Amino acid sequence: MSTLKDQAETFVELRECLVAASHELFDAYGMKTQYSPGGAIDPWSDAVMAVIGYAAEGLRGAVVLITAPHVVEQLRPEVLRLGSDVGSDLALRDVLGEFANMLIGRVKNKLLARGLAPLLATPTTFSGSEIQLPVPRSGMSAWHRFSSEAGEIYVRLDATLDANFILPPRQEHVVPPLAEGEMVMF
Amino acid sequence: MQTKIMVADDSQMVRQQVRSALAGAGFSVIEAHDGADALSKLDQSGVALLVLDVNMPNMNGLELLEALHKKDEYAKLAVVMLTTEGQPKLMQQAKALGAKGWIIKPFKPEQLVAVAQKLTATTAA
Ligand SMILES: [Mg+2]
Repeated sequence: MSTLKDQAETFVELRECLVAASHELFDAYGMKTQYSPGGAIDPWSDAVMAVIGYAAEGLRGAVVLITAPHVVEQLRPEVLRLGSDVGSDLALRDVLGEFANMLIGRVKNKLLARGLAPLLATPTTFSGSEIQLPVPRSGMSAWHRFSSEAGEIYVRLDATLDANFILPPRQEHVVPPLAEGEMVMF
Repeated sequence: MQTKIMVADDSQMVRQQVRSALAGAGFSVIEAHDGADALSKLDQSGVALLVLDVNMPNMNGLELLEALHKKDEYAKLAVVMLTTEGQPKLMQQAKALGAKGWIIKPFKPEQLVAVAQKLTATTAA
């Protein structure tokens, strides 16, 4: 049985995974970001949002990404910025959805080293103005702000932990999974 | 005649990236937005290589791989997985179902082209 303090510590570790994964991902797409915890979302006139759920034994939740359309346009790979659908709502939602997918994939790869293999859902995306996001009724939830020259990207981690859930310690002897961008031929 | 490659991924961004890389190397590229879409488009398509995502709605990549594995007509179809997933258990599953390789996103275009050339050359031989 873990105490509330244990659960809070586990949540901090999960958040650290998320922050490291976010930095790596934005970096890989040429966007330098500065992290700061929390951050209230400004009531933007326009925003794009993506959410992906995850679930492991004793742990479940979601990762939410929200940012302004012009920031998503910056994240979009250069080779795709010349297409006819540049800036279209569908294209921007798709790009942020795939970023959410790559982000949660990176978090999962970090958790694999801890012996945890969450199942990942596929992204749900939407866009609009004055999007209001209720805080989950159970579990823990925290916002993370990544500031770049293009603007702010907010990432929320929601996690509900079972009373007996314990994040296993890092297993040094475990072979790390393939890193992002790597490949193996069978 | 151009060698046909199908990319099955629920992200349009990924499909466009794959198309851009492979079309630039002379391949003809067909897109599918999930496993079920891929399965319906593969029939009689003459596709030599399938670039396949894992996490997709409707039918995921591993479910599609299993469906293809059961059909004799796809025995020569080469499949390479392109995904954010790096879980060894999933990789072993794909290997057991006949996949030829596993690439973790984001991919490098030249890496994908090299894999496509290698796998389609084997198929044609
Ligand atoms: Mg996907």
